[in-house]
Amino acid sequence: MSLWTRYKDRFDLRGFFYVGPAFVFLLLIVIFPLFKVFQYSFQEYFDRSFVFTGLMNYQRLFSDELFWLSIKNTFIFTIGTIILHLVISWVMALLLNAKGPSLKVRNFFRGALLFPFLFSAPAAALLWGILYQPLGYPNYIIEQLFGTTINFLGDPRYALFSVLLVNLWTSFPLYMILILGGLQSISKSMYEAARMDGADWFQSLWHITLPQMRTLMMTIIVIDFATTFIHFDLVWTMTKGGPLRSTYLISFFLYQRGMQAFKFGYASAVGVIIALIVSACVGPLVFFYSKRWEVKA
Amino acid sequence: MRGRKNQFRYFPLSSLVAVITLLILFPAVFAVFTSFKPIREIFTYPPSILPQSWTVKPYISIFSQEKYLHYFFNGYFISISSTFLCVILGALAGYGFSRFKLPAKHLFMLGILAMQMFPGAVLMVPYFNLSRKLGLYNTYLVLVMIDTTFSLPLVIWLLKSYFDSIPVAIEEAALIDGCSRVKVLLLIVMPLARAGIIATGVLAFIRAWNEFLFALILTKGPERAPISVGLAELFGQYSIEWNGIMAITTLAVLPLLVVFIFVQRYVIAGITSGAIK
Repeated sequence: MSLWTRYKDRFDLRGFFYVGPAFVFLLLIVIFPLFKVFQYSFQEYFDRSFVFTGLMNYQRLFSDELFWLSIKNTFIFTIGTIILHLVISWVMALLLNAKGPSLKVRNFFRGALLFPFLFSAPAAALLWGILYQPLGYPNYIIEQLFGTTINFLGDPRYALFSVLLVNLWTSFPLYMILILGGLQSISKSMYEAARMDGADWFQSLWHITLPQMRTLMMTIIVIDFATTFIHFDLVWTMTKGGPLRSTYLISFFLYQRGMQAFKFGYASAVGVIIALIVSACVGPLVFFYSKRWEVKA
Repeated sequence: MRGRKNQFRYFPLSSLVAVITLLILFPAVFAVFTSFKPIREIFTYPPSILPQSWTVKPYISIFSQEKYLHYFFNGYFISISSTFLCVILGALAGYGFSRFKLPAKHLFMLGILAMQMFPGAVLMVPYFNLSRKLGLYNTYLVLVMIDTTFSLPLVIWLLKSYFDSIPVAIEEAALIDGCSRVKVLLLIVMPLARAGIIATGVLAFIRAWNEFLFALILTKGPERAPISVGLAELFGQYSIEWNGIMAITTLAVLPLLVVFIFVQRYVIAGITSGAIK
């Protein structure tokens, strides 16, 4: 029996007819351009054509102060977002999951809290833009309490946090829903058993809930990192990287080099670095899942 | 009797949740009220939430500006096209993965999982460059294809797990009776996976409607750009017409809200099963 017939017998190759079209899209629109980014990063764009420049882009990048500044800002932004996401999402999920309010009431609040998730970054930027105005509502309250006002987007000390807050607002519902789903999938009998043994609320949270949620937490942190690290939309809309480059994120650096300065090669090198950093975070998770599937199968 | 008593016992908790929800939704509520204020009421001191005199002028002025009609039409056109394309391609692929023994299936599924977290922004240079070269710059086609592709991994993933949960026996019976595979998929499997199709479709629509970066770099002017670009343009124009701006924002979120209210349950189930598997 030839290798080919054995192959054909083991698998049902008609499946490729179904899977194929989607893969053509993924290949053409993700894999091929990704390959192009790598290729461009060793070239530079002069006079409407690419010239091979070797590692020059990377050498220049690593001695570019703006690059390191954007990396620093991006890590502050990303880690701050992840921590606040976890806090808010856990608190809201635990509140929604608490015994008490009827299912109808709970589902109503769950739906209402998911509402910010529907806002695109530019829409959210506009909603918060009016609140951040010098004469806006929050400043009125702050003035009543402290006798001073805050220039949310104009002051380099507050700008990054102001943008972060808007990002937090639009994206926390996703993580809240995921945590709530995780909480609801934990078997009730474990809590009953713990209560029989005299555990209080905090003890069962610490010894039952948290260990059960470990995989989900890992997944959430990785997803959050991968999406927040390349966050662009709000910074472009609200601050354009300013004031004094306090909101200058890596994605904005990439955008400026590529789309405004037309340094296609240089920008691609930035893209490669971003892809590497994100892969270093996503890779282990994917590896973890592949191990888990092997065990299951 | 007992049930009612319980509700009262938990009243403090419910009201705490209610207060927090209101606080979180405040920016959106404030925006809607602002969109009905006349200009002179926008920055009053002390600020007020409700308009003193209601007006719909901001809404009328949007529809008299051709630019915004373009932005909205483009947004609908791009999002609806890419939703349909995405659900068709995703359903085919999900079915293929669910029902056929394919070589290296685990590897493909892992690749799809990884692609869900792919940092799409790094592709902006080749997208810009290639779309200019191929004459796709400032066309609907390129945005529809990109929006479709970036939602595909999620859609394939969700629909595969939906198809997995449908018993194969029904299909086998139909196949023995001489029904073709494609017919089985269209007439038997798809209707049974209705909830999954709706959830993925809505998610794909929301993502396409809200997509901003690629729409920004691959379009020029209101001719082809969707509403997300139109909204971003409004920020920081130093105009004082915040009522008009809030009216446009309200209109831009309204379609999502309407869709979402009807299918909330499916969408939440979809999001949850996508990440925990």
